[in-house]
Amino acid sequence: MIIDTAKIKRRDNGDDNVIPLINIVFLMLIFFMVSGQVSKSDVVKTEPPKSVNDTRLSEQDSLDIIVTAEGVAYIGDVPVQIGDITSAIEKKLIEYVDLDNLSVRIKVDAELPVTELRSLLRQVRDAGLVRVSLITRLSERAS
Amino acid sequence: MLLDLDTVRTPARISLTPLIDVVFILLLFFMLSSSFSQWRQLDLPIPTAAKADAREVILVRLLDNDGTISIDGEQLSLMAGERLSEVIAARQGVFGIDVAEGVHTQSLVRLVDALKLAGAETVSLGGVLP
Repeated sequence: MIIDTAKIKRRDNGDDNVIPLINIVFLMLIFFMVSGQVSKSDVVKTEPPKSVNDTRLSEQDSLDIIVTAEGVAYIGDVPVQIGDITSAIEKKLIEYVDLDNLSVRIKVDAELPVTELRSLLRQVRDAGLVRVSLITRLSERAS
Repeated sequence: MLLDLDTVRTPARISLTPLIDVVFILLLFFMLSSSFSQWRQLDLPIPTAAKADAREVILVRLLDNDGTISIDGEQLSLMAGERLSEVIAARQGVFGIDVAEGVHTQSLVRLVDALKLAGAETVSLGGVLP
C-alpha cells in the first residue's frame, strides 16, 4: 500500500490546533450565558447582611433604597440626604400608580448601625409606606 | 490575454480566527456582566396602631456584635445553640428584639436567624422598628 504522506500534510493547516481552544471557549460562553444573570448593577457597592432566610425577591413594583456603611443613601440611582428620605420618597411616589402594592426594598450594608436603620425605617413609615423588606445575601449556615 | 485554464482552483478555506475573536468578545462580555449573587428579602412588617398583638412579649436584647443577648435578665451567647433552644422552648409568645447602641445590622439579622432556627415561632422587631 502506498500512502501519500505529502497529501496528508497539506490538509493539516494552522486552524486545526485551535479547535480544542474553541471548544473550551464555547463551553465557557454557554456556561456564563445560561447560569449568570445580566442585571443592572447598583450605583454604589454594598455588602448586605448574610442570612439563612430564603425568601426570594418579589417581582412586584418596588422602590429601592441603598445605604452604605458610611450612611450615604440613594433612592434608585439618585443620592439623597439621609435626613430627607421622607420628602424624597414622596416626590418619587408620583411616578407610581398602584401604591397599595408598592414595596420598599432596603439594601443596607451589613456594617450599618441599627440606629441608622431605625431612623431610615421611621422615615419610610412617615412617607406612608408599610411594606418594607430588607435585602440579604443567602448564607449556607446560621453563623 | 493569456488565460490559465488548466490550473485546478483549490477551494478557499474559511479561517477560524475571526470566529474566535467574536466568541472571545462574547465570552468577556458575559463573564464581566453576569452576576451570581443570590439576593433574598427579609420582610419587616411595620406595625400600625390597628394591629395590636395580645400575646406576651418576651424581650430579647442584643448587647453587642459578638452575639451576646439577654432574655429576661439571663445573658447567653448565640454560639450556645442548645442553651438557646432550651430557653426558647421554655417560653411561649412573641420574641421582641431590642438592640443596644452600636450594634451592626449583620448582628441583628444573625439574631433573627438564630431565634428562628432555635424554634421561635414569632419574632418581632418591635424594639427596632419605629
